[in-house]
Amino acid sequence: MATFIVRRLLLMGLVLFGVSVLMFCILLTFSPERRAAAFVTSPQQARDIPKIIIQYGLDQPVYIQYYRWVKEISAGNFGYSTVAVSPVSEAFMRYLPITIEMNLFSTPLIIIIGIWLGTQAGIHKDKAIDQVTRIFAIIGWSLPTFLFALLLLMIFYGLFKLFPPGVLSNSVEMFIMNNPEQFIRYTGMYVVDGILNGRLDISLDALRHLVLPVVTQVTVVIAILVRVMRSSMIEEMSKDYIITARAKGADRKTTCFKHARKNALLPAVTVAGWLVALSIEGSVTVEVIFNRPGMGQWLVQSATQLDIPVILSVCMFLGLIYVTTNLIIDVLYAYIDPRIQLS
Amino acid sequence: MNLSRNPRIREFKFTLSRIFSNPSAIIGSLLLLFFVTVAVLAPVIAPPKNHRNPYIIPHKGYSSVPKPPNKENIFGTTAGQYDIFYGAVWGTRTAFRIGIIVVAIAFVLGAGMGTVAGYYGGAVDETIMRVVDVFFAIPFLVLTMAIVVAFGRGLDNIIVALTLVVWRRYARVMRAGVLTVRDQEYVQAAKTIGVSDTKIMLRHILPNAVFPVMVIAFMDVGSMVITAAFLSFVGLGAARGYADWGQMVALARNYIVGPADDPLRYWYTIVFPGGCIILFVLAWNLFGDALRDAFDPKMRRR
Amino acid sequence: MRKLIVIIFCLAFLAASLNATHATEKDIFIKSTIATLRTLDPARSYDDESRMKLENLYERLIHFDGPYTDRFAPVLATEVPSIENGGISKDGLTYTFKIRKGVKFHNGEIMTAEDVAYCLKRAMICDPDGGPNALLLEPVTGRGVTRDNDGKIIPGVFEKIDKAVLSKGDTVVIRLHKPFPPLLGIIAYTNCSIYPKKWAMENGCWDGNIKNAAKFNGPPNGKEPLHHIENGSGPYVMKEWKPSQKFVFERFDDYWGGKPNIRVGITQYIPEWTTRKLMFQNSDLDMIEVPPNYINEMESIKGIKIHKVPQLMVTCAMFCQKIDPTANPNIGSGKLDGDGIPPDFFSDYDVRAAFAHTIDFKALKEDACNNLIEIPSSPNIKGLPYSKDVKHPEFDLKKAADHMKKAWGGKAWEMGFKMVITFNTGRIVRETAAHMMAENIVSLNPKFDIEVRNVDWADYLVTFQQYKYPVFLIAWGADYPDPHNFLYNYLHSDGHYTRYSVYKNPEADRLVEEGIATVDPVRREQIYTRLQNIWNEDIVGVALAQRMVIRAYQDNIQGFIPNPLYSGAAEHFKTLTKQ
Repeated sequence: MATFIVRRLLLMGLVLFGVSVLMFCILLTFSPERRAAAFVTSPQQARDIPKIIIQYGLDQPVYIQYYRWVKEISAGNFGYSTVAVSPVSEAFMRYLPITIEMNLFSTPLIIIIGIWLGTQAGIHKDKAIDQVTRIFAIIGWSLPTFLFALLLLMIFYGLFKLFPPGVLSNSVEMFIMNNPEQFIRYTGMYVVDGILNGRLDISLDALRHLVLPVVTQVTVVIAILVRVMRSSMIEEMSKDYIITARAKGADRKTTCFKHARKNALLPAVTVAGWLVALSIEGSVTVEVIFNRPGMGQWLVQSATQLDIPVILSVCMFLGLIYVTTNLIIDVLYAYIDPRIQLS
Repeated sequence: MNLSRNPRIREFKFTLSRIFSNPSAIIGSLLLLFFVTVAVLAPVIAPPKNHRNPYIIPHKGYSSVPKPPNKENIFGTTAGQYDIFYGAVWGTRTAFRIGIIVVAIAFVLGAGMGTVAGYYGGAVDETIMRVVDVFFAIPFLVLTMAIVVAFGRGLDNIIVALTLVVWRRYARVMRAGVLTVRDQEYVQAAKTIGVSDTKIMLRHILPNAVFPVMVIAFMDVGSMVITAAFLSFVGLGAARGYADWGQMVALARNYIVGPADDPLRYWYTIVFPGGCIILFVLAWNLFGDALRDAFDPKMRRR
Repeated sequence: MRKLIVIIFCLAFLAASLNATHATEKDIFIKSTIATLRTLDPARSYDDESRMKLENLYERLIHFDGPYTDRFAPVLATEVPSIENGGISKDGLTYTFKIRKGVKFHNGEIMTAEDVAYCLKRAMICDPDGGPNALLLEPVTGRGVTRDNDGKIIPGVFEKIDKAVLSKGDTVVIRLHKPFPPLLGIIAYTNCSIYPKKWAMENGCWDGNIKNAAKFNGPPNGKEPLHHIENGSGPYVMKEWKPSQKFVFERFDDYWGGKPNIRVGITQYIPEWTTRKLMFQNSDLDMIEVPPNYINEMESIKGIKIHKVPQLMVTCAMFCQKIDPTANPNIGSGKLDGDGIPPDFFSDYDVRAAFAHTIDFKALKEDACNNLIEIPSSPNIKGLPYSKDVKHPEFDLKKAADHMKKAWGGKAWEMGFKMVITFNTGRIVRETAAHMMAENIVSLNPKFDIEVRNVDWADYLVTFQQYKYPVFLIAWGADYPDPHNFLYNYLHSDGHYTRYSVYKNPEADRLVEEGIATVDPVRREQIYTRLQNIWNEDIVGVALAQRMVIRAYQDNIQGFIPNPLYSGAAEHFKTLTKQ
């Protein structure tokens, strides 16, 4: 086990190095002029482009730029984000909680509802519930997220004036701003901070702003889990031990939920990595439409405004999350299923 | 010789009957047939005005206010007076182009890499799979977005970017499939009688390991269109007035919510191109689902 | 158990939705913005978003008086200098400002003439890349830069700056290199904001010793010393800045100019139009800027007020007369063989004239822009001094065909050509004009082929400066309200756009240079009228549009004063009231 983990950790380093090289290759297809142009906004400023190239060494050979970047990173300096107007690491601390908070609510819902729906569809294969679930999942899968989000916004905010976009109401935000000593930002997540500070009204206000983003996120991400759960359930249900158990007269409920689902959950664990990736992608659209200043909105702005330090760091960070999740899943998997040998 | 006696043909017939015993597969294939017909007959259904580039949607006037369906524009016009019907028809070709080109190239690339990695194993496997890991470590949309930004906006670059990203999944699934087939007796037998590696891979391994990848590929054809629409949404897609559903939906997003007194006034700008996307993706998904059920050896003969 | 969870969720849901309140108190004003703020340093701020912030935080010696672009009102000076009151010397070289007494900065310090002189000098010494310092540098030193293109400091430039700005008692004197009539407009620009010298030095700005100036010159992006702090004398202080989220202003209680009505001003960054619109409809926002496409649906909303403010900004199509042919996909074969255009295609007057006659101004204004643009007759647009309505090419496809037949001795018509017109994404005027030119030229002769492409702004900026585009469509917004700021860039061979269209006319060069060095208004008027005619006689380019900004306010907001110099980002909270 220990050697397995050590080997995987080494590989993790290798993969992260690969990610950095890949991203660098992609980003260096920009000409120095174009990268310099990211620093200016009006044609008036464009006359300074040659100077900007010199100041930031944008015309230096690739390997020197890469070396400089790695050196900075190892010193803990991730560069300066022109979009976030602050060092990348500082901006991370600001944007990350917003994204995590939303996923903190959407992920459990995705898992609970996804597994339940998948199980039901698998048990009642080709019955009404199966067909409905499949259509529902496929539509969730085939509807562009931004359309769905805009529709929700139109109905629940435009028509019913219920769930506003943003993170907090202005009155609440003014209160926090004027009374920094009464509301301490422990985590940056307002629902959690509200509870920690004993201000449930603030938690509720934050929750109100979370409803639509979470609903969107769940609808979009859930499809994949339902699908995997369904097919793995169907497979389990057709295995001999279930058929034997049924033949012996064990009742349906026990066979379905006690035996089949337990084993069917196993393949579902493997899509956890996938869920993480999909949640990150979902966050992008959701944050743009519902105006939540999190990682997703930041990334879109950085990509369209060529904020290269951000693109590099965010990709490294996402890579890190991905490989770590996979490592955890593999180790978990080995514990759950003794048939798997780690080599 | 009686043709129907041939085991391959018999098997194929059985597969077909399995596929078409599933109602969702029938819906899926009917939808696909419909889209193929529209794509093929596009010049007849909506005769192009711009003969150099038929993908440019014709427009009469420049007004930014969409106009509801009328005799001349049966689906209405969107901002810039571009004809929605024309865009929907020629957009079918664009959708097929995006989906098929991306998936075909990525399929060949990914399946090839996966087969080589799985068959040879060892250092070859290790190298290829680490490269795949690197590509896998960055979320799909994020990586695609970065590549499109680097190469410049536009549909052609979206196709390139998607191809560069999508292959990774095929490589991984293919390799897993090859690993299970590699040690079967018939492969070993072929090896001992001295059949060349290339031939073994093409004749014996590929046909027996390719189905799971094919199913994924089928479904991906549809989702490529969604991804392209997302890229249009963040402002990296085709130009206004190009026959592309994603572009049309992204353009119409500001018309989803109409004026306060009549919030659904511009429904046609979003319903037609949006409906096309949903049905297109639905078609490939239903079909892919049925394919999987049909090819899955565990479920096949139950 | 499961039921319990469901019930709890439903309850939470219900409670959350019932909590809905509208937080629009009487003394709070909230507006949305579509750009992110990048800096607060007056020496670096050169975009609408940051200038808007600085206008409320800092003050200058003078400012533009209400809606006018040619009248000033004193702010930190006690009067606006003029030749009549002796503030400007007869030769137009020396400007004297009397400084107001008792003005308090946000940290409590009292303003002195010494502070003013220091700030004006720093407004030239700092000179970060992409900053506005060239504005003051040009009239004071005669050259708009402190460093050359290799980043080396120009010898003697700091000494020149030091000698040009002096403080004596309660007055500050600025000496110019040569006469510069629009100087007051530059003094009113946020670059010349005033803050205390001591505070600035404590926070890492120039230490006041001219020998050390080089050390404080050209700070990198984000490292400019006043990047995220402020200490002006303006009516509002910065309460909180959450980058790319919101910026909160709070009333400054010791403001010398009286107590404004609005206590708290908030600008909120909301990039998505639909989100913005719905928030405005639900009264969660007090003001939004409306893109011209959506004016109709906006006008149908009740309980709001819409202001249409013409801008001092002009969009032109420029023709590049010497295109760079190396690996250039925009000119096809690079020859006049029916498969491309030669690099000097647009040096032929008839080609330019033909293109100019293809713009359907009426459709551009009424259809594409919902009547929310003005059609200018030259880059010297309405609202600028000496602007005249002159004769300019009209929409006439027959004339276009006639010119095209004459072009290149008839060869262009006979052989045909192929080229690409590119515009930058998201600009409706540029997009429509590009399509009009392409579609109308192509309709003249089946041998003509023009493809229209679009790229992002950063790409566009870089590529047109590499002489790669045969036609480029671009806008210029006023730094200061004077014809020189526009005609220099659109007509002088060294101008910002003319340089890249490779247009050179000795008469135009001479007149532009004479115009800015002339104090006499009568002579200036003659010069600028002639220059406007040269633009249309030579068809250097086509002036397409002068845009309008549409500002929608809730009905209970009063006191907005429209001024063509301020874009949709601008908002002077001081003048507003809310009922």
